[in-house]
Amino acid sequence: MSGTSRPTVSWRSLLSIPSRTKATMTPVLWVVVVAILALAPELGLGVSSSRQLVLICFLCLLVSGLNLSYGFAGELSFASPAFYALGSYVTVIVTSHWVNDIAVCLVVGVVGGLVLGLISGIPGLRLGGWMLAVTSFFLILLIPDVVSITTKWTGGYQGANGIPLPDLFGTQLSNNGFIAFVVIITALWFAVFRNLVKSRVGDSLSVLRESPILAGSLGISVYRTKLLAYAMSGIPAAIGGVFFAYLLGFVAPQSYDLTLAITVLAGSILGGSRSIYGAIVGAAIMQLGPNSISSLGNYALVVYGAFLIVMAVVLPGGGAGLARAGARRLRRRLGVDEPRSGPELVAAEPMPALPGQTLVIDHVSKSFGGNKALTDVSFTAKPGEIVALIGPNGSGKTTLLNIVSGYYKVDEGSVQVGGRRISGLTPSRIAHEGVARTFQTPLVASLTVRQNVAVARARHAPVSVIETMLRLPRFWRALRQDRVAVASILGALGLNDHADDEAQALPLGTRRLVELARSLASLPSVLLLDEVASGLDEEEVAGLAAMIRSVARSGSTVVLVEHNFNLIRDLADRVVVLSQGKVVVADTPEVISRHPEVLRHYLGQKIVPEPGDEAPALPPAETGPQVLPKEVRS
Amino acid sequence: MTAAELEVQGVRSGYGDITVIRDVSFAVPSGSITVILGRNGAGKTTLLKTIAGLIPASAGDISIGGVSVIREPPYRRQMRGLGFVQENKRIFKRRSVEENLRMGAYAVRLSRKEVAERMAEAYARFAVLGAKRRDVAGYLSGGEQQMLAISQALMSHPRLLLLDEPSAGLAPSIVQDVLDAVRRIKEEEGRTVLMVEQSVDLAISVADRVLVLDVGQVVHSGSPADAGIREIVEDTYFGRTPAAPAASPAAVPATAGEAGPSGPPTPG
Amino acid sequence: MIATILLGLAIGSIYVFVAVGYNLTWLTSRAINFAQGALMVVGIFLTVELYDRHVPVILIFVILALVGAILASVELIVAILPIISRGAHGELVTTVGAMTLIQGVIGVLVVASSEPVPFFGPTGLVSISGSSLTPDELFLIPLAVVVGLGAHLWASRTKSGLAAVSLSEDRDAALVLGVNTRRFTFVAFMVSGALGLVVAPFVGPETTAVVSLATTFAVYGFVVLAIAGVGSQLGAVIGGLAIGVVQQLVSRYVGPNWQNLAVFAVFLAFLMFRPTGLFGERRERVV
Repeated sequence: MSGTSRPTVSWRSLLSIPSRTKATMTPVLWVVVVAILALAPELGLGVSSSRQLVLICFLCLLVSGLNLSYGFAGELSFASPAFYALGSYVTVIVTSHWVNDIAVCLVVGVVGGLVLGLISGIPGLRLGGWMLAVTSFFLILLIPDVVSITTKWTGGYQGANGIPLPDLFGTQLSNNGFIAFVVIITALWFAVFRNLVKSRVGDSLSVLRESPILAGSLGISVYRTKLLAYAMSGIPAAIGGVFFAYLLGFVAPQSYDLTLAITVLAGSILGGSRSIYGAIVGAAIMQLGPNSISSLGNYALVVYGAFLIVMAVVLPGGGAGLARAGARRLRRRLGVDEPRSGPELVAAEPMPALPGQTLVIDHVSKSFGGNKALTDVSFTAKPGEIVALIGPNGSGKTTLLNIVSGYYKVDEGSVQVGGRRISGLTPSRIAHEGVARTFQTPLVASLTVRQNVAVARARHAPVSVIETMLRLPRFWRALRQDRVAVASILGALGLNDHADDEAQALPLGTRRLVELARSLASLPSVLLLDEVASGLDEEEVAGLAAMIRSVARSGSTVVLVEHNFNLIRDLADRVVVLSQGKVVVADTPEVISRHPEVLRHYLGQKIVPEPGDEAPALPPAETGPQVLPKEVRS
Repeated sequence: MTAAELEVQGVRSGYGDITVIRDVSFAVPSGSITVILGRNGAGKTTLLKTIAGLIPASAGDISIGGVSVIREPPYRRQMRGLGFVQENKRIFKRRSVEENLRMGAYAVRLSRKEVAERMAEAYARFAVLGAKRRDVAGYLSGGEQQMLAISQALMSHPRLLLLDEPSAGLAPSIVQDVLDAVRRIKEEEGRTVLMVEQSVDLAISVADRVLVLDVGQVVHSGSPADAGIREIVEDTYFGRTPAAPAASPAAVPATAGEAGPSGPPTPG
Repeated sequence: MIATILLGLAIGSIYVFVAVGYNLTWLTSRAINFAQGALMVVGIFLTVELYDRHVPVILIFVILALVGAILASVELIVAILPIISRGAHGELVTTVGAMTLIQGVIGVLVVASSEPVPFFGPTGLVSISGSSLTPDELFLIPLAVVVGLGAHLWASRTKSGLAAVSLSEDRDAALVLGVNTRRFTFVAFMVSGALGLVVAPFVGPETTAVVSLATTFAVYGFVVLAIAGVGSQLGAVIGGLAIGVVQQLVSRYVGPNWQNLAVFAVFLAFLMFRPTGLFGERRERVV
């Protein structure tokens, strides 16, 4: 491309537009597009096309709600028809019994949607797996019944007639005014939706979707967050329902059926469920395509059904997934994103100060069925100390780590952090107490390194969902603090070069560092490292050791489960040796490496049966939450 | 020279983008006990799982009784006479001892009488199983579970038995029982055994041949009586072998104080 | 009252069939076939077709079983196996897709929107302690018990059943013991598919042939799973019959528009307070 004399639009230059420019251009572009669409009927868009525009907006609202619940939070919901119906019937009831004001209907509809979301979501999410999807599906079956029971208010099976033309704050909206209003509200919802998704809260949804275990360890409450996402997914649907009722002037339960739910799902998958703009694309295609052919009837079901199967098998990412993959390939071809080398193991910044607290393992015992995994294990780790936990397979190290981070409950004894008892709390509560951990197989979400690390900061700079959606001042303050904190941690670990790389694409050693960075971002009081050196080469291990040392020096308590004895000798202040679920000895690495007991248990030298050795205190299968990012549903 | 019951040639395998077994070749003579030593993360379990077919090999070949099985799924390899006692006592903890033994005979066409006979064999081998035959396996002690796991694998009378750290976490006296049983399996029942172990002494006491694995490669193979075996194994624990993949020419550390190479991750 | 309860048991039997089908496939492949209800509806419409053509009854059952097995196998191959290891609701989307597809096809092929289904056995009402039952109802209830009990006995007393249960507990351990897990998955799907259609001559006369039943059956099957605990076949019998009774009692004494709501309330209650069901495994959950 270089060397040509005619000015050409270089793809390269297009793709490497600095993100700052993109950030200011995007809202401007939005406003322009929305303005054009809102004024389109005034500008001469025909009657039937205007109607299509409005119907597309409705479907956009519905699909975006599903994207929020399914694409981002990982909970498939079939409840769109129910929320849609709710919005429409709210309009019927409010306009006939109270006041004809579209704004009032919207507010009541949104509130009603949230209530319905909570009623179905609170029990639905308890079990996990498919139960929420089934609960939401059930709602579709209930629509005709509820409408029929409340016939006095809803008009029953016959439907409700006579919804007046909409008033807004006292003035009646003209046809074109209504269309403009619909477009603007839809755009506002999408802005709020986008704000939610492109934020730390949105990133934590991704983490949640991909790995509930990881989410728990970062302090994200799986249940509450999923409930929030699901309940909120009803809001745009309810808004759409209000508009739908005003558009038709008539509401009948037959419109809110399975076909609608499947249409919404198909639209979501078509555009890409994990996408904001994908919702618009999918909705537009569904509305302009199959939805326009009113005689389609049962053929629609055949097509949609086949489509769902094919898409889920062949293109799970939908249109957006294709677009992203294409863009990635294009960037690579043009060399815009050069492959980077490994992390520079040089700290560019000092480690932030860490609020270490004392970890006390107090006479902990744990059995799985007939197997005693841990028997009366006690030790203490103080701030600034590095304690290594070693032992052969079956000694209980991983079980102990999982107990401290909350994935197992103790049978006897307790675990305390800073004098507070943490055993018995959920993993996310324990994370809030300042316990951070890494996993044997690094768990990183499909986000950039920066995003992965920032998610852990929620504990220290919390921002509510509303503040995130509306970009209130607290959001910006937290964003700035996040940027600074994350940059300093990435600098301290030599990850600056990789800050905007996709974490899952990085080599193993770098991913471990990302996990470490993420743990540090939560400013832990106690840091648990699970075989963090395994899989790394000499250089990487040396670099890692330096990082861990500076973590301890910055004040944190560090507990290290390791097999690499040289690393332990380098780093540990004390070593606790476990065997068969009991503490054999705890001392400095020097003493340990010469200790005959350790050599016996760990390396298995000289098995001489000793009197009193018959008691079957035996450790069980160590099945910790070693789940890879692609978790199979429960 | 006895034929090789198991032949592994240039095998390479791992998890996802992580290569654990790099290039492993060895043969196990029929009717012998071969023990694989090495520290955690060396790839011992991965190697056994690859031989059993639970992990696909990305290169190389594996033959059982002279037949190449590299493309066969686990249940087919079992039909060729392979038995596998996995680490961490992978029996069916919610089923009874008896049911577990029955599952051991699942793939073999046996009459009721024959199944009963083999179960009697199991109870004779480990008396405690007979006493607890109706008990739910999850409530047995670790040692008993291990005995059950071994008996379960033996129900199909495998020609080749793979054992992954059968002594892990067991009290020394129970370990002795387990080892005696393994010896009897070879001597009285004539089976071939390939066993992974962490303990050098255990290995030496029972093996006909010893292989030392480190970072996914065989760094030593020979008789247990070989001088220096203990040192070789200790070296792998303390990272003193030259087998490290990222080792530069000067990286063979002279003393234990230098940072050693660490092996591939221990799979969860 | 007795009449309502008996009717409830009969309707509940249908839900038992769905739940037993769900449990079979869940056991062997951890996949639940959302299209199970749709398969049953196929069976009902097919039964009507075959009756109209005066096909002998025995042959009807054979054809139903074959068609069921084939349809389920096709669904397994096309819609489930390709994504079975991907996790994250994949099979839910595809089996819902399959259900939709089947409903659409039936809608296209069938003219009447709702048809009565004749019963092949004796006609005329049967009187039991003062209330009358139709003969198909008389057959449905014991049939449900037999099916559920049979499935339970298979899982707990037979060699293949033991293998399936073991496979469900620890797939890798079962693999090395020679269990051909792929074959188990296939057979489980074929059997659940055949089951879904084979009961149609009994179910059809009770419900009439209506396409929308596909979704009702599918959802109610899950309600039974929530009450019984996933995997428990005996629990499925009790749960299914109980739900049927609740539904009919509410329909009779409160109103037909309340029956679904009542079942929904029971569903939510179980999810809230007894999520693993009455007979489900209570495991120490990791998350």
